[in-house]
Amino acid sequence: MSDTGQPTQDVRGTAPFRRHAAELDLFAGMHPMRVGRIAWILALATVIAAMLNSRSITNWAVELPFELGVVRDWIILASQTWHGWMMALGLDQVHAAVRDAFRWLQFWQPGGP
Amino acid sequence: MLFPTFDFGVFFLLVFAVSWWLLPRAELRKAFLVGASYFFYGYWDWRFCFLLLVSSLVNYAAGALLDGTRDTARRKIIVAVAVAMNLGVLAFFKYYGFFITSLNDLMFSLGLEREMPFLEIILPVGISFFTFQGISYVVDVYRGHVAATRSLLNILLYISFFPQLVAGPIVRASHFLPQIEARDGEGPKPDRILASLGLLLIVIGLFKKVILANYLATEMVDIVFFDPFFYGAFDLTLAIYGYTIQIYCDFSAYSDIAIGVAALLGYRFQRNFDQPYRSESIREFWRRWHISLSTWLRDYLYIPIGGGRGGVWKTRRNLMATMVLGGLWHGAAWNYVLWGFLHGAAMALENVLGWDKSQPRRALWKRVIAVAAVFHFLCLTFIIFRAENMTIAWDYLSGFADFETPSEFFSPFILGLLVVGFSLHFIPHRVTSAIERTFAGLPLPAQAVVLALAIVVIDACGPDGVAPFIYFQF
Repeated sequence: MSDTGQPTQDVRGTAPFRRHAAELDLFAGMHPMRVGRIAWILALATVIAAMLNSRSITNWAVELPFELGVVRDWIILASQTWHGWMMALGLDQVHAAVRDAFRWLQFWQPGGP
Repeated sequence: MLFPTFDFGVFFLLVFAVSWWLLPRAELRKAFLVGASYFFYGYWDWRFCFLLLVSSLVNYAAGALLDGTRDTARRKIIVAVAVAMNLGVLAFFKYYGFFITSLNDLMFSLGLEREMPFLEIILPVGISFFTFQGISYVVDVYRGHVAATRSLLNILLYISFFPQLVAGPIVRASHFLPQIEARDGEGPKPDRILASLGLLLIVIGLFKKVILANYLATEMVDIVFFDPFFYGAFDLTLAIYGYTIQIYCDFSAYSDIAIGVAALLGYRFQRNFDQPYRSESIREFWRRWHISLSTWLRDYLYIPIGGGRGGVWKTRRNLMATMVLGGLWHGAAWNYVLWGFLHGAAMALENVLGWDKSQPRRALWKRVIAVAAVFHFLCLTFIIFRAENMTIAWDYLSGFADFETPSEFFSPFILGLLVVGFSLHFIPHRVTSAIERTFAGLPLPAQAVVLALAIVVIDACGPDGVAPFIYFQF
C-alpha cells in the first residue's frame, strides 16, 4: 500500500527489478532433465544406498512412529532379511568403514596415535 | 518431519512418483500435493493442520473479496482486516506468552501485582512463514501485483506446499501462483526438470546440516552456551564463531533442500542465501541472508511505513523500526528485539557514514577489513540472539576478559568444521555451475552412484540423530 492508499507502482518490468530477479534465479543456465531419467536415477540411487546402508534401514523400520499392525512386522522382517543379505555380501562394511574413518578424524590430535 | 531422515526420504520418493504420475490431471496433482503437505505438517502435530486450513481460507476469501470490488475504501478495509487476522493468529500463538510475561514484570516493577491469565501455548511450527506468505498474497492482490486466484486449491497449495512450509523460503504469490495455475497438461514440463541443480542442492544441504551444523552444535556451541561462565575467552570466541557458522549452515541447508525438493517436483524457488558472511556492510548482509525475509520486510513493512522517503532521519527511523520488528519476528523474547535493534542501529550508522551507498570497488585490504568487521559484528550480535536469556548473554560477554582459563574445545576437528563452513562463502558461483554441468553430463548409472555415495557418506559421517533446524522455532 502506498501512503495514499493507492496501489504502489508496479516495478516488475523495470531494469533494476529484472536484474534483482535474475540474481535471485538459481536455475538460470542449468541443465534440464526428463522426469523419466530422474525417476531412474532416484530408483537406482535408492537401491545402491539401501545396499550400502542396510543397518540404518533396519533401525528405521524398528522405530517407525506408526502403529501399522501386522504391516509393521512385515516391514521389520523385510528390512532384517535385506540387512542379512547385505551382511553376507559384506556391503554393510562400506558404511562402517566410512564411519570409522570419520570418527578417527573427529578425535585425531596432532602428536596422538 | 525433518528433511535429513529416512521418514522424509520415503515420503519424498512416494510424493515424487505419484505427483509426476498425476501430471496430466493438474487439479488432481495439486490436490495430492496439498494432501501430502498436510500429512507432512500433521506428522508433527495433526491439530495444527486446522490452523493451516483456516489461514488459507481467510486469505482466499480476502483475495476473492478484493477481486470483487473496485471501491478503494472497501478494498482498504478488506486488506486491513485480512492482515489483522493473519497477524492476530501469529500474535496469539507466538507472542501471547511474551506479552503477558512482560506485562506482569512491568506491573510488578510498578508495584501493581495482578494475576494475568497465562496460557501454555504450543508454537505451531512454521507459523511465521506461512502467515507472511498469506499476508504477501492478500497485499499483492490489493496492490494489483498478482491476480486473485479463483481456485481454493491454488491457495491451499501456495500456503502449505511442504518444501517451504515450516522454515521457508517465504515464497511470494507472484512467483509461485503462476507456476501452479496451469490447467490439465500445462503444469510443470516433464522434460524440463532442473534436477541436476536440485539434487546438488539437496546433497549440499544435507552436508551442511548433518555434518557441519550438527557437529558444531553438539561438540561445542550447545555446551558453551548452556553455561558460558565456565569458559575462557578462547573457547567463547571459538564457540561464537562456531554458532555463526552453525546457524548459516543449518538455515541455508533447509533452504537448499527445500529449493532442491521443489525443483524435483517441477517448481522453481528463488535463492534465499548468497554467501552472507562475505558482506562488506550490514545492509549488504541483509541482501545476502534470508533474502526472502529481508525482501518481504522491505516490500511489506519498510516501504509502506515510508522507506527512504521523507528525509534521512525518517529513513533511519524506518530502518530501525523494520529491523526491530524483524528481530521480534525471530522470536518472542527481548534478546531478539535487542538483536534487531543492534542491526537497525548499525544500518542507520552506515547510512549516516554513507557506507551503504554503492561504491566503486574498494582496495582488497579495505574489503578484507570490512568483511572482518561485519563478520565480528554479526558474531557479537549472535551471542544475544543465541543466549537463552540476557543473563547468559552477559556472562558470555564478560567471559571475553578471561584469558587464563585454558581451552577445552580447540581441536583439529572443530577448526576443520569452522574452516570448511567459512570457506563455503568464497566458492565462486561458477564452481557450483561447473559441478552441476559435470553431473548433468554423466551417464545415468554414474549419476545414481554419485548420488547414492554422497548420501551414504553423509549419513555415515553424521552424528546419531538429527537436531531440529534452528529456524523451526521461528
